[in-house]
Order: sequence, then C-alpha cells, then structure tokens
Amino acid sequence: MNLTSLDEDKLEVISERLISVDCHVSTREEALKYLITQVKQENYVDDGDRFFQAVMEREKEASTAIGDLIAIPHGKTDVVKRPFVAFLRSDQAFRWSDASTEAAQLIFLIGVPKESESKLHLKIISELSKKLLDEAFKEKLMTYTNPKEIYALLNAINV
Amino acid sequence: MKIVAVTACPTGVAHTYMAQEAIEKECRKRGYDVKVETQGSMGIENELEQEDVDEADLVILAIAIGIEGEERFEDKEEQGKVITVEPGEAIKRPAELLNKAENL
Repeated sequence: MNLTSLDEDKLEVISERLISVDCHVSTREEALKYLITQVKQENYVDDGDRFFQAVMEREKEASTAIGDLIAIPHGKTDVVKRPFVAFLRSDQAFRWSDASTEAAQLIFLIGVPKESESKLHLKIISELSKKLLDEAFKEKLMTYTNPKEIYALLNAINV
Repeated sequence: MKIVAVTACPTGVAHTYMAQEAIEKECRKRGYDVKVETQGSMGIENELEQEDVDEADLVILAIAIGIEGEERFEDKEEQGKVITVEPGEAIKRPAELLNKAENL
C-alpha cells in the first residue's frame, strides 16, 4: 500500500478545514476565490482556476442562489480529485449575482469529479442539499460561531 | 390528491434533490400522496411506473434538461395535467407551485 493513496482516502467530503465563518467577502467572485483557495490547499482540486471557470459556467446557466440567503455554486469537472462540500458564512449578506435579486450569506461550494466513482459521496451531497430546506438547520448555520459545531452539524447527515 | 413529479438539473448534484425534497415536503404538508423521481448524477431513482403516472391527479416536471421516459406523461399532457417549472422555482416557491398545479 502506498502512502499517497492512504492519504487520499482520508479526504472526507466534509472537512472542518473547509468551513469558514464570518468571512469578509462581499461578492460572488470573492467568496468563490476564498473557498477555492482552501479546497486547493486541501488537495480536493488540482487546478483552482479551471475549477473557478467551471463554477462560473454553471452560474451562467442559472444562478445557484436558492433563496433564504443560501447559494450552492458547484462544478463537475476533471480537476476535482475528490468530491467535497466547502462552507463559508460571510459577515454580511450580499447580492449573489447581477442576474438575480437573491442575496447570499451561507455559501456551499460543491465539487464533484467528472466521472464520479462513488455513489456514497454523491448521496452525502444530495442529502446535505435537502437539509438546506430545513428551517432549524438553516438557523443553526446562521448562528453557530464555532466551525467545529458547524462541522458536526453538517457531518450528522444520515445517508 | 395524488401527485407524481420528476426533478432533473444539468449537474444533477444538488438542485435535483432539493427540488425533490421541496415538492415532497409541500405535498406532505397538504396531506397529498406524492412520489418524486430524480434523474441526477446517481442515475434514475425512485422511478415512476406508468401505473404511478396513470393514477396521479397531477404531474410536476421540475426540470432544466431533457429527461428520460417523457412519453410516460403524454396522456396527462393531453389532459392538461402537467406543469413544468425550473427546479429552482420548485425549491424557492413550492407552495406557489402546488397552488398553480391544483388549478390546472
């Protein structure tokens, strides 16, 4: 067994290191760049610029701001090495895109490889997405101050 | 009231399943019988049989892409019992969607 694959196996879909609260960002681009720097650092993505482009392409099709201050930008591309969900809560809500009037403050960046090998990972992401419609869940995302608490909340998804 | 629906979006990782959840939630709230098929990155799940469709009073297609098995809904289409919306609309305003569907 080689060490590289062992390390990669440890990469979870949701990681405490991909959770940031009260970041000072006020545009979609700033939020995406902030999140992408982190997923790149943690080796989920090997080409941050290309991932950014893929996410923006998807945004062009239709804004991913889904109301209630939530946005779920996402990209499905071969520069994603492992599926992930990264979370950022900005210090204030801002208008997500020129194309829509929706504001965002709770931002979930989702990345999946072009060829997804693991249904389990996709299942985790879809179940988490569904939870975003739950009022109590949203309230906690908005108020918890410790990334550890948010991690525990996100990680408690039943698959 | 029995409602069947299909949800699908281009990437198929989030909106497809959120729209499913939103429609199911709103239908349960109203005490309706509901079955939602998802066509996403995990393939087709909770697939609607022709029988499910035939028995349904209404069909909701919350889709942003072409779907498989659209011919299942032809009869309902003729009866004017199919409503098609963007998945994002179903997620944001499920109550409005159901109100509209009920008035078909």
